[in-house]
Amino acid sequence: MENIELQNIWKSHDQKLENMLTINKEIAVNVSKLKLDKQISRLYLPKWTAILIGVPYTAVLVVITIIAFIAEAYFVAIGFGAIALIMTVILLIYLYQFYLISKIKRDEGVLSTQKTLSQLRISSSKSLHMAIFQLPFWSICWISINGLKDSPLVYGGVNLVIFVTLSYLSYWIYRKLNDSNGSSKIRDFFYYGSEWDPIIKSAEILEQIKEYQK
Amino acid sequence: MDEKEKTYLSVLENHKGIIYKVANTYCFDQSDRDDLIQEITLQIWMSIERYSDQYKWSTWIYRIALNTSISFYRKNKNRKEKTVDFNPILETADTDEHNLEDENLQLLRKFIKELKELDRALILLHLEGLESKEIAHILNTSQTNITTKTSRIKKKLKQKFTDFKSK
Repeated sequence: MENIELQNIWKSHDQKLENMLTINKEIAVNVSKLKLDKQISRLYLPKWTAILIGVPYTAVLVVITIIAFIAEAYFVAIGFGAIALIMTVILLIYLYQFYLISKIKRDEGVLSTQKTLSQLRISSSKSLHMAIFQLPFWSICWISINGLKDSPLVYGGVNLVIFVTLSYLSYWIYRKLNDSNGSSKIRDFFYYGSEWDPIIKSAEILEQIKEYQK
Repeated sequence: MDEKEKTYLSVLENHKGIIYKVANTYCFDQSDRDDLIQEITLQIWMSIERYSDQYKWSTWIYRIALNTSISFYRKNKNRKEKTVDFNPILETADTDEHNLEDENLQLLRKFIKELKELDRALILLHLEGLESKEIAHILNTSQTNITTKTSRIKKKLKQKFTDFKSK
């Protein structure tokens, strides 16, 4: 098959297609206007919802940390402080991505636009996965200083084991959630298949882009 | 009708073939294709005021259509939230358009749909007759990359034709 043949096959339908296609002009204008609102709310609503829930939650954590610190309940302060810090980092990443999303223009180069969109999709989920690192710090919040003084080895040892175990568990879950290869029961627990597909697809697109940029 | 609407409709009218062909390359069934065409026309509507005459209209449309199609494809394939609640924006005069296509074209479409998303974009632009310089501009990569990749993809497509015919 000669080079020109593929193009000839492709072009064979062009004229017929041009004649066959008709535009529903009224629908084109109305749909675009109507869908514009829908599109904006679809893009922004979930993100604003996450921010609207995340900001008060983090603020409460910060307040608890301050109160605990003033009351010299240092383990409570460390636990809640660490959780507040993790949440703050997640919210800042989220806000920054929010800003980046608003800057994406689909009339720009395909590879660069797709790269940004794919990276945003993946990093959005990764930043949310960071929330799992709150887990070990919840165990610190309940440690009693008096308990430690009374029984540093047993009480302290048990709490240390709990903290280390939860830290490892968080790390393990985080890795499982971010592993885009193969199936994972952990991931299935947090995601419906339909929610995970776009993330997998984004990773695939990034791989394809690499091939185009070699 | 205001100026924006006039320009928008004229752009759609003049480039309906591009929109249809890009959507058809990325969607397998008709309702998805109609949905994708709506998304593409919406993106055109949203971006039309940013159009700069440093590009040809067709180049600009290809960029929007391909970016929207690849993003659309990346989304959940089993989307519950279908957006087609209107009649299609682009309609074909004959309902059974495949009757008008010869076997080779149907095969070519099938083989293109088996390619990866970016390869599909590249071969579509090549088959549409765009120069490698313009393709590089639309995809925003180097012309050398385009030439190498195009040659590989064409080889792959020809091999698929050969394999099919020899069966």
